[in-house]
Amino acid sequence: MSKAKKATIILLIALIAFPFLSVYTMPLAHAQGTSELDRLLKDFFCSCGCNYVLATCETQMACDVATSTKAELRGLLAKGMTRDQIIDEMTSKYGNTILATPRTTGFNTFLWWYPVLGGLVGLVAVAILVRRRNNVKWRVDPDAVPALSEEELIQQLDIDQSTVETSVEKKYDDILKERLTGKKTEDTTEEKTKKPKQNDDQKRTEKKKDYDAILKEKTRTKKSNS
Amino acid sequence: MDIGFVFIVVSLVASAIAFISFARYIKQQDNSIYKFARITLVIETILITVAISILTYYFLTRDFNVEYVASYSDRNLPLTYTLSAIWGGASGSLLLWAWLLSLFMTGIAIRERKDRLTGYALSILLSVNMFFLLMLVFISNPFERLSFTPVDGNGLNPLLQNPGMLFHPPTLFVGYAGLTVPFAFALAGLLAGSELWVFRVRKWTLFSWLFVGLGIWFGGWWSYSVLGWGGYWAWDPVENSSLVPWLIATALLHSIMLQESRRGMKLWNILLSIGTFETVILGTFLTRSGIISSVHAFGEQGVGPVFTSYLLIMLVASLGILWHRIDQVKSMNVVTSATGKESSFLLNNLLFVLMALTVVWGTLFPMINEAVTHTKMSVGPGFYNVISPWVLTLLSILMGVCIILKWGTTSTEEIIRKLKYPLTPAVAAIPAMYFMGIREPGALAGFAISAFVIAIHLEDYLIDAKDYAQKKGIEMLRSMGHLFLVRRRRYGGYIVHLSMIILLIGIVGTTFYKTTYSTTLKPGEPTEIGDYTFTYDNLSVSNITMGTEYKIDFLVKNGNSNEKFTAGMTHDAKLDSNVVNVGVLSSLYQDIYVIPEAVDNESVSVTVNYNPLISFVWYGFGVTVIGVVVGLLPKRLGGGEKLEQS
Repeated sequence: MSKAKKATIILLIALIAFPFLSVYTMPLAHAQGTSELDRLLKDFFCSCGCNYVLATCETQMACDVATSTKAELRGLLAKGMTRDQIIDEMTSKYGNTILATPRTTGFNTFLWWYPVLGGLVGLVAVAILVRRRNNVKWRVDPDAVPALSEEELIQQLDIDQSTVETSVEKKYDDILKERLTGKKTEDTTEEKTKKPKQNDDQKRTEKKKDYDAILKEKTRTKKSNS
Repeated sequence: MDIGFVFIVVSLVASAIAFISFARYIKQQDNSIYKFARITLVIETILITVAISILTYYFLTRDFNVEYVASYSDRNLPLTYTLSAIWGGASGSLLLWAWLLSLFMTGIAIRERKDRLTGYALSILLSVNMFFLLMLVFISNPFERLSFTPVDGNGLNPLLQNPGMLFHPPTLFVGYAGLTVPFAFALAGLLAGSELWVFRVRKWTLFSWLFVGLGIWFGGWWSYSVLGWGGYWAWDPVENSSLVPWLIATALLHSIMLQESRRGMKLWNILLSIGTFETVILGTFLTRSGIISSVHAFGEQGVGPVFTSYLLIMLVASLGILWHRIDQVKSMNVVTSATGKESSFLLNNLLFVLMALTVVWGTLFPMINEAVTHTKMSVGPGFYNVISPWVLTLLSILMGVCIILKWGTTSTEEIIRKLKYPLTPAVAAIPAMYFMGIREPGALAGFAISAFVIAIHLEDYLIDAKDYAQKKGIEMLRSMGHLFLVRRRRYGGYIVHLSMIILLIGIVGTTFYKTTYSTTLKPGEPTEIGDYTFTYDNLSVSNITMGTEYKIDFLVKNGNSNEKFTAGMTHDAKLDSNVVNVGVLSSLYQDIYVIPEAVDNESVSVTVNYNPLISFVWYGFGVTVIGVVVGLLPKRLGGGEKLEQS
């Protein structure tokens, strides 16, 4: 077996074994189920104004409010109250803002159903896009993009540069030309696509020539009018 | 009028001149105008750099006549935290934002091609920059002077006095400022009628994406190691607001590849760019407006309405431009088959955007609820913890599956052939893990998916390396190295995928196997807490500039190993509050995390957390950095696929 093959196999085994090794080395003896109190501590915000759930509030700074609320929850559990009863009791006492996991009823229904609705709408959109399969062309390998210059990309992607250079200004220039000369401007798009490799300077010179022509035309019209 | 304020005003003027000059260049396409605009832009950057340097100088020289300096520092503040106090409040943060944006603009003006597309993009960026400068001039001036000079300042919030605060806000702001670049280029593309914007934004977006990620990472590390939450993510509204642009930018980084290779998804990419910018502004707004109460929100009155208006104006303006130019946005179809890589990209975009919108929805829902029902409510971790595991699971599976799919279409035989080997260890692992003691379905699924995704990436890499070696006639090992340079974008992406799996392993470990104990220790008396024996060894009390510092030494014994570590508490005399200094004993597979709650010479009350695999969360982001660096390697290194084709 060649060195390369050996190295490959070792790398392969090491990387696949990685998650399992991680699992194996975890202190599994500590793995415990979540107690009802732990769950409740994550269901309520501390009302001290820290904006943390009870489970984390007291860990930041010694918080008397968190300590007393935890004791209150322990008391309610000791009374044999269910989770729902405790939630009712706490919200009636402290208001809905104490609840970190909002209920699924009333206006809150919108909160909970929004992701499901969004997901369904998104899936429909994806399904529509997946079904549109006409005229799909392979244009450029994404791996190759970083190595290509913009000129090469324009060529490989078959981008029509005439629209790039003229799309916005052309409209206004054409209107201006039309108004000054009184005749409709010829569509230069075809002509430009014939010369896709014009460089920027050439295009600028041409455009300047256009402006000069308009200016001359304008002067001539003025003279003839006078 | 303070000299620093003068520099801000002058940089605002320079911004306006640069903006007008770029607008003139767009119309006239005269190179000399571009040069002038660029010089003005550089001057603006220099001016704002001077302004932020002056503010730094005021902090370092303790000039408490400056209101901002007096509000966020005092004579006892150590040098490093004095520097972090610069962004401790709203005005300083806005100045930092404007400065970073100026640096980005200068970078673009220097690096990018001089044409109308760049001209438009810089004009848009300058308009954003002017918004921040106007805020600094009219609403939130950091150079405002007091009518008297206080003897000492108010000091910095003790929670902000730690190394995390040195890095968390600036990295996040670098990312935020950078994520305006795709927005500016997307609108520039619309205005200039150019599709080339996607090729120009990729590097800026990737760079900024990394920094937002790093900002989140520093924030997580700060809250874990300093604030003593015992966790790294709490679904706090302000945390959420930094996650949203990161999620949308992740979707954008994937979907621009479809525009590059297929000229499709054009409208979607523009919408994602607008979404990224809007959520970046929303994030800054939530942090700085004080509209949402959060440990991170450093609200300032008067900022809120301005941010809301700006957010809406920019949304309406960008959608207006899009509407006006919609006839130019003609996307080609992108999908050849349901089993093509393109389909998996569509699904991945759906999941990222769905998650982002869900987080926005959950963050804003209390306000919507109050407006509709006139009652107050909160949305806490419970809501996100129901939604996020599903999205995370689906995204992780998709991350593996998309690797075996080819661009275009993939035959069923090929899918089975490529799935066979990676799926085997993943499936076999489930019963193995079950017998090892992992019984929670979530943990079983999480670890099995991790194994599957790692294996599938490796398989693809090895097949690719073998093909490349044969094609080039080089050795396999050399080919494996070459590929990182030649196909740097793909393998940069693979490394980032790997980093996300490392992160997933950390998340699964800490979610399912974190254990907590609360107990009281007496001096010199060994107490068993879980598998370890703790001894309260010593208490030392010392007076520091801030107040009183209590250092508690613990001895921890497990089998034959004996380790010593320190936790503590600092009493801030000025604020009359205690700040906990957690003690963390780290190893690769587990952290022992001790939070002191009350202490005196007789006893110490502690909460002890065992956090398995938490280090994977930190290392995961480290690997992300490597992946992004590979993905951003310049053309001259390795040349890329083009060389291969020629």
